[in-house]
Amino acid sequence: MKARGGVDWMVVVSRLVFSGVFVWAGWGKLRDPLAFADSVAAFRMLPHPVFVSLVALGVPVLEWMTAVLLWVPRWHRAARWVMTGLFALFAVALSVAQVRGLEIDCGCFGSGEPTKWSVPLAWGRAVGLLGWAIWYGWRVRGRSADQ
Amino acid sequence: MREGLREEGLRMAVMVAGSLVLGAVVNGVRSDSVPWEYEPKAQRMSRELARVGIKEGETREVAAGAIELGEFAGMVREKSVLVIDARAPLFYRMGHVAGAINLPREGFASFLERSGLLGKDKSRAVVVYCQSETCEDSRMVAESLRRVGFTSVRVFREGWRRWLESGEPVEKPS
Repeated sequence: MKARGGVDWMVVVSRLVFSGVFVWAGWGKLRDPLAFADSVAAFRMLPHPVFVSLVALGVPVLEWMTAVLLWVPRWHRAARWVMTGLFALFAVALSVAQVRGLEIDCGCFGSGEPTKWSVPLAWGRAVGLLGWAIWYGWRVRGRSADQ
Repeated sequence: MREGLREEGLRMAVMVAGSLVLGAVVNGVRSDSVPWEYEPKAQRMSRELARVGIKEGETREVAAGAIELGEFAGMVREKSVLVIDARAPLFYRMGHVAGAINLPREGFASFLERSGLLGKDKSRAVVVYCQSETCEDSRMVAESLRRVGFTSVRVFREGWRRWLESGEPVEKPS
């Protein structure tokens, strides 16, 4: 689905969606970092409270950085890997929470109210985005961001 | 090929390290910062209680002392209960049970001091609520109120969501 000018619109739309998702997710977390730290802690996966703080401080900024660098040719490939890694990490964390039967709010887009569907829905979203990111990586392999 | 991979790996490392540094800088300048060693909610609540002179142990969730909608609504109508909204101020401002006072878990001590509750009759019936059954803040705030001396504290576990669905009186900013 390439236009005459050589722009792959499926890639451009995908990149817009990924950037939008990361900006939205990062904003939700930055608005209330302590609530996001509570969400991270609720997963009970990190061995020490210092790691909870590091994740709470670093992840929102990394999401924003990824959203921007997906559009920068020299950084596009690294941003793509980070994006796929983040989605994979979220999918694994949510799988573990699901297996443990945790009724928690994932904190994915800021703090919310946990329900019994919070984790399965967030898991489905993370797996969907991971699949999309893998497809995107395959689609743009060997190309730079301006193509 | 190997050179390219190394370069991409380095860029990814720069992204992660840069995020941590930037995150730490942003955290350093904001008022609601995250401590370097994360404190669970119960510990933060204990710290809040220490500020009003209560120093023993952690504040834990309590299971007892629940109140059902019918009884709670009756007490609100008769104005025979002190209603505490344990949700964050933003949500309180968007609407709350008629006559409720905002006393959230975060910043509990400051809100408690400002509310003037410490000087009131502590044998008065108190009901605490938060958003819904899955939020734990109402139970933590209820336990904290017991520890500062209130003797009749109960939790409306179904919370604001159920209250709103029931059509009972609410207060909203005009």
